Amino acid sequence: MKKILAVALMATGAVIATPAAAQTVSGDITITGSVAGKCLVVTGGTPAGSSFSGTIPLGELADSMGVLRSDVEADFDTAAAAIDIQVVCNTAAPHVTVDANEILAQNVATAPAGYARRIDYEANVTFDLTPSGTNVVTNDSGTDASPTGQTLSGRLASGATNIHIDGDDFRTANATDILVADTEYEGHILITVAPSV
Amino acid sequence: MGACARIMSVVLAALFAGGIAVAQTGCGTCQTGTLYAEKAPTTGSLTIYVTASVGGHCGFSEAPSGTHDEPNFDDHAWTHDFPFELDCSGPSRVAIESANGGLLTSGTAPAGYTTLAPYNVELNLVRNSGSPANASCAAADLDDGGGCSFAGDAADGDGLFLASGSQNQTGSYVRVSAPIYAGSNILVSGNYADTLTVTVSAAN
Repeated sequence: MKKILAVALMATGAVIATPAAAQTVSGDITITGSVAGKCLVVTGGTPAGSSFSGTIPLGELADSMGVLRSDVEADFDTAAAAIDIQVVCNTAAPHVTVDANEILAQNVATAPAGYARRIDYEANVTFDLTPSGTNVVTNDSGTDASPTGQTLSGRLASGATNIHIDGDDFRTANATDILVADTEYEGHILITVAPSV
Repeated sequence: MGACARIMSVVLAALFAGGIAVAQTGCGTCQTGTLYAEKAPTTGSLTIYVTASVGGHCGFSEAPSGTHDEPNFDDHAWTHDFPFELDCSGPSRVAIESANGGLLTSGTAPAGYTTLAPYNVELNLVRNSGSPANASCAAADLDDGGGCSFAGDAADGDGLFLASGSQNQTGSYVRVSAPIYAGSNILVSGNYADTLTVTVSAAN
């Protein structure tokens, strides 16, 4: 048997093939990251900044009789509508606060009976949401001792002015109070917008 | 009974069958056509011809892998390299496919917002000799069927072509990067992620 096998090997060449070793032909790379909740001013302040502002000039506050003129609300709303404020937040439900501060004569410390140096009002701030709808947050300078806070029911709309202001119920302590003379009556509406509570 | 003895017994049987008596001879007549190790001559040689082949190979000696985390990636430029080494005896192709076409977070985004952040992918391939191959694309062009030159799966013939062999050469990498986010849509807050699958194959 051994001899027959030896003859066979002489007659033909042997073919040997070695299988190739398996190679790694793929790899996976994972990239992760985060975006923090934030709110940024687009218009009405420094772009990408954190504050915005506007001025509502009311001019002469008294009528010919010296009392608060009845059309001050209309002038307030007209002037406020011209303020372009756009704030964007990347969270689904930003939290806002509104705090209306009375309009005061800055250079008159006190007003005697029958006179007034203070005007109260109700500030209404409307926040536009996307895809539609609004949230209105109200604060009265005379009756609300602290700011009104609210979590919006959706994302702030983007691309245009999305914060609007109007005023109601402008009044002195008594309707017959004479407004003291002062060239500087000043009040503030403080509005904050935060990514969350 | 050994082979020589068996042959001899057959011959003797034939001779006796013919009525002729023949004296038994030695086994020197047994050597024709065969080689017996136990009988003279005692040495010989056998030549065995062997032919074989070694096929071309191509893969990663060190595959690209790992995870890179970039917190608050939207507010600063960032970059990161994933090095790798090829083990290809000839030309090759390396392809990349992005699972999401960018960094993606969960949820839906209304108008003006987005859940997908862009980033860029650069592929650099170094070979044993000669200039490297290099190309860059946006991750958005690396999804299935994307328009990037190295998008897809190398096994399907896709990928950046490297003209000659690369074996255990350093300097090949996948680089991911992005500038400060400046897209028109607002990136929603959250955690984002993407996975790149990098493949290699021998190329014709």
